[in-house]
Amino acid sequence: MQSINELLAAYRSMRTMRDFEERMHVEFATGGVPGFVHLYAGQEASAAGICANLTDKDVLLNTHRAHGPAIARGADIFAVAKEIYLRKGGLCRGRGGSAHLHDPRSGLWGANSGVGSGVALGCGAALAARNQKTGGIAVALVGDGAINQGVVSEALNLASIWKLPLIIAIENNGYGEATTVEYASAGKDLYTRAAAFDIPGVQVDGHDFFAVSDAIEAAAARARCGDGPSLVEVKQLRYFGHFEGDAQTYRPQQEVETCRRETDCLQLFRDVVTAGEFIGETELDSIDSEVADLINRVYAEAQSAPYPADDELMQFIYASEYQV
Amino acid sequence: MSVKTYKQAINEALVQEMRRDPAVILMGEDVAGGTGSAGQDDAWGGPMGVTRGLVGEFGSDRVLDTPISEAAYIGAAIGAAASGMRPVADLMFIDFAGVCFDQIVNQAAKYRYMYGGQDKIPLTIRTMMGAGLGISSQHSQSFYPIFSYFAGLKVVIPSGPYDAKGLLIAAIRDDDPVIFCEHKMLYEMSEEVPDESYEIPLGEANFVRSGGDVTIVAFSRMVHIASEAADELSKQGIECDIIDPRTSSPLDTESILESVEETGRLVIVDESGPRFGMASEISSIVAEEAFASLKAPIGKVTPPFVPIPAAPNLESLYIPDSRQVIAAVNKVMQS
Amino acid sequence: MSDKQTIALTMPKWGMAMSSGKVVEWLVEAGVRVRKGDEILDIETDKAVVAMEAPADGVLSRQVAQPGDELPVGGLLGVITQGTEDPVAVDAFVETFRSHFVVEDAGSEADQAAEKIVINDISIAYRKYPSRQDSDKLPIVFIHGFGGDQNGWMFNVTALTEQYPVYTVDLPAHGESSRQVGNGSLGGLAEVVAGLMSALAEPRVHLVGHSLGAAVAVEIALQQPEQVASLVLLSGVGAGTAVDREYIEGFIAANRRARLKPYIQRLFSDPKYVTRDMLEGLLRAKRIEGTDAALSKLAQASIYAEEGARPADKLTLLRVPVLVVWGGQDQVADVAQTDSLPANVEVQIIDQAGHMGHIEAAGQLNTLIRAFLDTSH
Repeated sequence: MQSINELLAAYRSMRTMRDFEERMHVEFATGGVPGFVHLYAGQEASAAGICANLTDKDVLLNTHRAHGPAIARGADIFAVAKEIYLRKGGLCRGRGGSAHLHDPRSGLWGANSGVGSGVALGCGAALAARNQKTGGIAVALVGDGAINQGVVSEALNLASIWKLPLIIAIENNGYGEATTVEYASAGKDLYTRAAAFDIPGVQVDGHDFFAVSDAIEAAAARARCGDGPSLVEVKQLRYFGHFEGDAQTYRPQQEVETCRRETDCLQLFRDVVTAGEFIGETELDSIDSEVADLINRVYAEAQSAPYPADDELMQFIYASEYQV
Repeated sequence: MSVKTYKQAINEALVQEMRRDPAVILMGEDVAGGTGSAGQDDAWGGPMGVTRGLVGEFGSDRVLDTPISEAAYIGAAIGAAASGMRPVADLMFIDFAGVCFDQIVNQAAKYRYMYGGQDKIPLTIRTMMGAGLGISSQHSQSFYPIFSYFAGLKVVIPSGPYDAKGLLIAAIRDDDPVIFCEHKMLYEMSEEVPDESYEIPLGEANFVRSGGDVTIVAFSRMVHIASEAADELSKQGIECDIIDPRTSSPLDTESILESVEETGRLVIVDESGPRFGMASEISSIVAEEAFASLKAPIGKVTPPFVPIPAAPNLESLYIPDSRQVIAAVNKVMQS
Repeated sequence: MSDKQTIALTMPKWGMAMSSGKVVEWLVEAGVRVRKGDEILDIETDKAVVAMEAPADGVLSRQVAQPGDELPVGGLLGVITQGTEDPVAVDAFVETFRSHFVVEDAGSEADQAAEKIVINDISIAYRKYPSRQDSDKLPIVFIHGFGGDQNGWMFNVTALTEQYPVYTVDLPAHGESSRQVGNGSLGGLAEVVAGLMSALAEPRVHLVGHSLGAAVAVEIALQQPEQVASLVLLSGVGAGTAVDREYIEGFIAANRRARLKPYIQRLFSDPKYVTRDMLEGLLRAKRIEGTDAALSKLAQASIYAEEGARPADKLTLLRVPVLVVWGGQDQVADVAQTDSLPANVEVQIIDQAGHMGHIEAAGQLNTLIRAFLDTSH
């Protein structure tokens, strides 16, 4: 059960993710955004519900659909935007870009273009946390597409036999790129794969912050007390294409509209929290306007930031001496 | 100081580093051997017995048998390295890099650079390479140059016990991912190895021999093939420099060029393939940097462009031998 | 032509690891008269290029080996005769020599291992070389300099074992000795060497010290005068006004051949002396864990701490014969330090040598040591 401040923080987080992505969608259309960008809009309850249960000792392993989880985990949003714009001051100095947002100081690892590998790396983060007795856990985000990579099955097995403090959160948004999960994945429900590895698996409504948060809370408690990993399937839909520029001709026409109208995570959250007497619409509206202002400032700063210096090209290849 | 085998030298390096630094852990298939069984839990120590005895001293929290899941445990080793551990992951055969290539070249090699220099990945991947046991083409390759292609990785190919110990200690202490390629035909080779801990810096070639007439650059087991050839050639009055670069990344081009500039003649002997391999790479470097010093075309002694057969006669035709080295040296001496 | 008159000039064995050597150049023309001890040709070993001395007076009648030739130890380099000799007789001598020559086994690794003994909790490596003559002469103990080791004396041992038993020792943190240095002071080092002599039941010895080793030798002579018969101090007198800190710090920090090379070249009058094997040998010792820290401690306590002391102050206190030998080309320890030495000290300058006279001018140094020991006893 969250405190009022926690609820307001969760709302602010989801609103920030949403506005950031809606604005990114507009900016991309103007041609100002470089590379591939994969937007998280529609899926905010997942990142917010997960991060609500993480401490600063924990690690969240991001996917290529990276903006939302980075913001939810508390990475500096200005640095997030600058990284997407590949500018100086970006999280990764403009070397990674949209799909590789990484901020270890915030407990955010990854974003991984090879998609499934984050689960294997998460095993290592969890192993290290246990070995070093930090009390931390790792949460590996993985998409419905990536779970069909062999490395994910291998890592699920490894996490189970080593009883690692790890949560595998499958963000099932229905499509691996342009291919439906129904076509690509044997078995209707992805969470049932957990049974094969002898770990708990649950499926939750990924538009419902509370459902996600409750499932992660339980899985995190299990991980923290040494009982091993869990799998949580977060079912949801994304509002935009696989990447920006995707015409989404593979999707039913009404799919996104229906979702936005009926199961939008922000609206569902508002409905729940304003039903009681502690949080009012005006309070949330004022968060909305603060976020809108923030997003304006973030984009203005990112768009006007310089690119990294040319002499950074050869920096940070090796941590140790590499010379002859 | 005492005489130790390559295998013992590697074991000793691991023991000394694990005693020195609790962040050093070992993982891999059967690095202990027998975890979970009713019998011995230190049954194997790796298929060649290199890590024998370690689980007994350091326990199964630090010597972890893994399932046959190279992608998962190499990935986990990277994650542990990013968390401040110094894992030594055992990839039983270099051939199996095929199933964890993404982990090595896209995760480990890119982690520091792509994420803006925020992390270090002090990971060592020990792996076994080389032909000679009649175990065919999925257990005998020497494709270590592939890893040398990738900025972000270091690649070590020790040719003997002294180097193996000092280079492995350096690899474990190194803050970057290192692929440490042991040649399976060298495990029983022995020589004097200090009992103390010592590091050989990565990127420093060893002048195995200084002769002055011709430069031979040789790697791993081929250093010994080249030495055999040089002994024979010496009887004919041809004195060879033999350079063992010890590491292919970083590559000590300075030492190679220093020697070639003196001799004007170069033969490269390597067990990686004839195409896109170390011999090609070094030829290219010398042609670029020391063309004017060359008195003869560069000689290359490598296996033929073919997968590795198991039959003993065919396999021995595959592996470069000292006769080929002598022929190559004689050829470059003629110009 | 008797055997006594005709002498085979053969490839020497300098150090136990040496199995062959290469002729660099003849320093004396064929047909020229030479005297015992004259440098007659340069030989390159894995370790260094060293001038070989004429083993006897005579005429260099034949240069059998030519520049560039690699010969096994004992192989025929040339022929020295008593007078101008008939070429046919020399041919016959060469022929006979060759037909009887067998390449010696270089000796197994085990034969080359140093002995070890624990002195003041420090494991000290040393070697004993018996005299080739059955003599009752006191032994000579060679003490190397900072960063060196006992193998550095390889060009002196053979010449001096002709008459004297010889010991060579690795100082703490050097060679195969352990990497502890105690407090690192000269006094501590002296105690270790003196302790080694006592442990080996050698009550009285001649000391030959190089550089830091010379300082250690002086310290032993001051602490244990009864143990020391004489002192030969090469390129060092136990204290100096001009310690080359940049050399010392650079040597300690260098962990690669390319970085070490310029420092080691500075030790010699000519960079040709610095071979790849010499550098590799130094690096092998330096790589052992703890070496750099131990050397730093030692440099602080036994070199920097003595900086500014006047050598004369110590040397005048000595009651034993002292020979100081210095290279005229020394770049790390100024030869001018020999100007102000007290009268009880004999000084010899080897004009052509740098800091490493025992390698660069091994023959001259050996001759000086022999003459000094002959006259002072």
